Amino acid sequence: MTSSRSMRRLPAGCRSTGGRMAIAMERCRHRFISLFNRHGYRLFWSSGLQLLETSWDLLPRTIRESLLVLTSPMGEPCCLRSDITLAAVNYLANHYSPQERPLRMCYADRLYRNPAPGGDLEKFQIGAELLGWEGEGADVEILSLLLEGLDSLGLNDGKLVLSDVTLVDSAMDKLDEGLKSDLLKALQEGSYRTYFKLLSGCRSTGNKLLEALPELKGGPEVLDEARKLTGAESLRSLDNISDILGRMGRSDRITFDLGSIRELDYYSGPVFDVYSPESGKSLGGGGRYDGLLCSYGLSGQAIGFGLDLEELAKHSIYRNPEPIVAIKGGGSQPDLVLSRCSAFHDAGLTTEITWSDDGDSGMARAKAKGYSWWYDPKNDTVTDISREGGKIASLEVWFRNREEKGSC
Amino acid sequence: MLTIALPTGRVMKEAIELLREAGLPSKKLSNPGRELVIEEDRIRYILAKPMDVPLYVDRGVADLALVGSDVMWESGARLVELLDTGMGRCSLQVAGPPELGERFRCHRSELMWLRVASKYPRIADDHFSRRGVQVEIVHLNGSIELAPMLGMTDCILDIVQTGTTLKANGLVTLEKVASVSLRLVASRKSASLRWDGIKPVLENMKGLVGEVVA
Repeated sequence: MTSSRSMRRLPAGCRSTGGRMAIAMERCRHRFISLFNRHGYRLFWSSGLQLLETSWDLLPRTIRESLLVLTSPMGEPCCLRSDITLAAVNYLANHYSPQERPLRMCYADRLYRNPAPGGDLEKFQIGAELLGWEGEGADVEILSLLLEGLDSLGLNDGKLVLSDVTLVDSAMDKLDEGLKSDLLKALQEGSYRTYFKLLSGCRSTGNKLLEALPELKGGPEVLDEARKLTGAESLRSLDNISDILGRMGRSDRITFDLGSIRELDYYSGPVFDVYSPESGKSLGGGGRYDGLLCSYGLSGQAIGFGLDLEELAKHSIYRNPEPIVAIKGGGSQPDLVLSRCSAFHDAGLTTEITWSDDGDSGMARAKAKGYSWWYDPKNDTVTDISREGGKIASLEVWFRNREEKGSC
Repeated sequence: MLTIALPTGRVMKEAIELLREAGLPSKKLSNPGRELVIEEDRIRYILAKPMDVPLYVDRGVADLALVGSDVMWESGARLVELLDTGMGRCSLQVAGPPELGERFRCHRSELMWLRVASKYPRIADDHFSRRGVQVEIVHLNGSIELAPMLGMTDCILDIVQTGTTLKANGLVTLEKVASVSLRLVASRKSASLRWDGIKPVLENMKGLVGEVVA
């Protein structure tokens, strides 16, 4: 016999999400996906299993080490999906002709990675990819839509921190491979101490950009500082993004950290992290990955991002969903009750019907569930059950009051 | 307001002295009483158990922190390491009874299934697995030196400052794992978005401790 304890338990690092959090995540997912759909991004559901051979060489060592590897029932070496970008590019390469590009995709799906102790084994990621566009505009399109998406979730203070891996590459161009790899590792790990220690041990670099890189942080003036240390060419993409987003009135939402590089090795141009004011962790990020397209035999640019849906939901306007109105169904005709529900739905509210004839127990159950309002279709009244002796009002008056106050 | 997390305990006094010398307000901090959150002139200090400090930074509650490199390694938190203050110097060592020394001098296969007591299970696992050695790690929270003395484990992995405690318990250093000192760290978000506030603190501390940093 199964004990109740073993029924409750989930594998370490896994989570089931229900209640308010699930509602918030679904609302965020819906808003985000709808926004990107309107801009021609097609929804993409990738396979949960990926062949090891299709991703092994394209993923950095840190992610390869964290893959959840298994053998499919057909005996093929696979891993659980650890990255959706690879799957999206693979899909494009196999299903679309060059004439159909650029291709826009968006998704919301789970990712699986073996976590550090106490970390999450599975995460819900939401993202978008723009693949195969060779002209200017793609970077700005994705970034401005991302900001619009954050705004629509109430994350109006969310910031994009931009950098460009080509700038880092050009700064390290003349270094020997060993030192370059150690410096990149130090930047990825955020160890400025190691970075400067390595530089000080290498007497002959004389490379001002390399020395300044981790300190080049702040507004657009940082690009001017970097321009003095390097050619304008390696800053062309960031200049372009800064200018256009500035003209769109988005300057306050972007900032630069030119020593910031992302973990995935396939990025090959501007990269970015997304931060909300309420969390110390990045909500996610992305960047340009033209090189990844090349590895699939495709030419052109590609840019995309992925965000942690649960973190987004926690900081979004949906973290406290609107109150649910409990409807007394017992004692009234079901068709009448259901039509009354529609009136609440039209006003953007959620309802739940209690079919019991016993109004008092129904009301008590609704109260216990944390609902704020009790509607009785028989006498067309709404009762505030969130407090003792709460007010009773006719439905018409209640709706009018709600409109005047702007909420319940 | 810049928020700085500080570890209570052994290094707190030194940390406060460093902050004072770096020109940060430290009057209230020197006599915190029972307060765990102290605000002085646009700086908020959070006083936390050393092992918890990385988490406060990682979760974005604190922008900056002074934290031991041992604790930082053990936590696995993804922080930006700005400066080695050189304070609180000690080292992480594997120590055990002298007769175990021979096994450490031989081929590393001799170390397979060694029983190691440690307050740092993650570091112990990391250290031995990097060398391809499988060990049995016993996670203890204090008086680690007791474990080999009572036969519970073969050796320990712990911080060693002077070596007096090891000597008193009949243990010797078998292997040095890493040097430990107090580091100035920032959250990834603060390092990118609050650099204007962080830079003067870093510059002042850099001037005091003399390490080449950003």
